[in-house]
Amino acid sequence: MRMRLCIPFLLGLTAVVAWTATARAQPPGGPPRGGFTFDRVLERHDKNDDGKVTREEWQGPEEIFTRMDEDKDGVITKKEFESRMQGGGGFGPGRGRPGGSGTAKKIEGPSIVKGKPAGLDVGQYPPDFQLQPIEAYPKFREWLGDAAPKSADDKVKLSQLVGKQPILLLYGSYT
Amino acid sequence: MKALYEAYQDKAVILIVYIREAHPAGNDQKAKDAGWKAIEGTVFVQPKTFDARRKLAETACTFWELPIPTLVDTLDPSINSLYDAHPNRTYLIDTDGKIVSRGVKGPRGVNVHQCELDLRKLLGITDGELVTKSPGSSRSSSGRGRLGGEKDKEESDKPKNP
Repeated sequence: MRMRLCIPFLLGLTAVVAWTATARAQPPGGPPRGGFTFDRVLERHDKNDDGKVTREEWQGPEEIFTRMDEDKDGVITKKEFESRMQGGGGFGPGRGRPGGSGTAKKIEGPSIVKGKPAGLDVGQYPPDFQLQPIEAYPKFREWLGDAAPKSADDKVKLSQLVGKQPILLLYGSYT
Repeated sequence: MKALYEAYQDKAVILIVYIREAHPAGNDQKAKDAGWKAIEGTVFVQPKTFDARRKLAETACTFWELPIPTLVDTLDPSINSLYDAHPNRTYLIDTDGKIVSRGVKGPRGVNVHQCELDLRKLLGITDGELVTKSPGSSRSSSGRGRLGGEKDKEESDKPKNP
C-alpha cells in the first residue's frame, strides 16, 4: 500500500526536479537576446581568428560597431560586448527619431548655460567646450566681437555663442 | 552643407566640429594607394596629434571649398565623445541654449535637409525656397557620412567604399 502511494509521488518529484534542472541550464537572465552572442559575432566577422573584431573586419552597420566599441579604439572585445549586453543597451541601429532618445551616459562638466546641468537630449543644455578653429574666421568677429579668436591658437568657447542666434553644430570628418 | 551655410549664415551660428576620421586610411598607406582617402599628397590617416588633425581639417575644408567656420576637436578628451557624435551628427541649439533637434548619428543618419527644416522652424521662416533637397528614397542621402557629402543639390562621385 505504501509502495503504491510512493511511486506516483516519486514520479512527480522526479518530474519537478527534471524541470528545475532544465530551467537552471539557461544562463542567468535567460539566453542572450535573440541568440546574439559574442561567438556569433566572431563567427561572422573575426577573419583572423584572434578573438576580437576590428573595424576593418566588421561587415555590419557602422553605428553598431561604434556602439559596441566602448573605448573607441577600433576593436570590439568580448568584454565590451558583454558589458553592452549586461547594460541592456542593445545594438539596435537607432533608427530613429531625430532629436533622439535619452543617452545612457551621464554628462560631466558644465553646460553652455551657467547653472544648468548638461545633457544631450532635446530640451537639455549641451555641454560646453573650447576648441581651436582652423583659422581666425571673420565670422567669429561678427558673432563674438572682442572675444573672437585672433589666430588659430585662440579658442572658441561654445557658451559665448549662446544668445543672439540659434547654433547649428555639424560634427564630422573628411572620411 | 555649403548651401545651407550660405543661405542662413546671417541668421544662425553654423559651425563644423571636425572630429576623428570615420574611415581612416591605413597608417602606412601612400597617397597613390589611398584612393579617395587622400587629397593630393595628404593621406587621411587617423591623426595622432592635434596639429595633424588640424591639417586634415584644413585640407578637407579647402578641398570642399567650405566657408563654414570649423573648430578642430582635441584628441583626448574629445568633444566628439562628449557629444556622442562619431561618425557624424548635428545639433541645433536655440537662443536659450537648449537643444531643439539632435540628428540621428551618421553615416546614413545625417540629414542636411532636416537640419534646414528644423532651422527654418526655429527661425520662424515659412516662405522662400529651401536650399537642400529631401533625401527621399534615394541611396544618396544629403550629406552621406562625410562633411562635404553631396554638394547639396549635386550628386557626389566619390565611391561609397574605397
